[in-house]
Amino acid sequence: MILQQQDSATIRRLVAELPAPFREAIVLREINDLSYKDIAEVAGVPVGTVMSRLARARAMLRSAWNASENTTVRSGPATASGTAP
Amino acid sequence: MKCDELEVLLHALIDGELDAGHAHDVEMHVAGCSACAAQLASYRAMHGVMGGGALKETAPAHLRSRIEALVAAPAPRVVSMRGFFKPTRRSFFGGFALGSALSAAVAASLVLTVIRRDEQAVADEVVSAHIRSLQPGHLMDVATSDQHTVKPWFNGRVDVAPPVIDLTAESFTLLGGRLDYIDGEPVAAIVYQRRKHMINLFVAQHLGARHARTVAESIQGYNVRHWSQDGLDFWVVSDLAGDELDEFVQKIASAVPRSSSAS
Repeated sequence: MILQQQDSATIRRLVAELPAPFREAIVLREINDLSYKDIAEVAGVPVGTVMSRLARARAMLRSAWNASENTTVRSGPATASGTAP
Repeated sequence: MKCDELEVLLHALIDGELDAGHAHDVEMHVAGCSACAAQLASYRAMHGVMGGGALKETAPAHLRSRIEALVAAPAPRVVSMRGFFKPTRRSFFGGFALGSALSAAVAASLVLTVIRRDEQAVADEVVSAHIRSLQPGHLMDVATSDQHTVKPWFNGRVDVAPPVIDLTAESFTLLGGRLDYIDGEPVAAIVYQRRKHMINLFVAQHLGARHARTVAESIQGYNVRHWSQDGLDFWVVSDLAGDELDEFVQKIASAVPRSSSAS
């Protein structure tokens, strides 16, 4: 619903902001559902590199996500009832 | 297993890329470590959101730029975006096949790259497997210097009967054997030691070693040798000095029993 759409938009933006090798790894994995081996072939790097890039990409996404959530909560509209000034 | 070693494996677990043994190790660790359990839960949640379609609209641009970079030529209008963008591997590669000379060329160059990399990919993987084997408790599944114990242990675990050769007299001590995975396939790893140096000998039927002649290289500081003999591919990895490793290779190669089907 609306929240999910916001989440999706945020995730898309955060993924777009990742440095290219990490973005590539996460897109090939999460969207195209490629195996590590296939990602390694497409990206032309060893499987170990794919593993570390995915781990790094997800760690970056997670911290960016947390940061964006904090700002959303502060500046976004109040969601709980009874908190209107 | 330490937490920082585990982090990469957490992702592999989420992505279903761990073999049963490693998955068990990770799960055992997570069961007793609340920090790693929290990490796993948060990454799982994120994986769920992304896999649930959150990324679908952005992906074509990334993929296309990636593929364009692969061909090193802009390829707009050649392949329909829709063809690129279904979340399965088949349709991803299927995208290349959508009729045009250029996309066929892309597909051909990709296959070529993949085949050429095969040997290098295996080389990287055997070195990773060697390093992994040096972690405490990972070196051996069957620990014995008796070759008649090690060899039958591989029965039913790998689809070849790897030659297990006792070289203790040549001061290469047989330590045991281990089941390992290279390129997603089970391979026999036979472990030897000279002084403080571990030697992993990987044996499987198709392991990217295409030459009867021994190929020598050095990867990440480890000496690697590989050759093909008697229908089997052999890879040796060690931090042992190159000339001593060559001696080892020569002893193994000359001791491998030759079958009638030797090529």
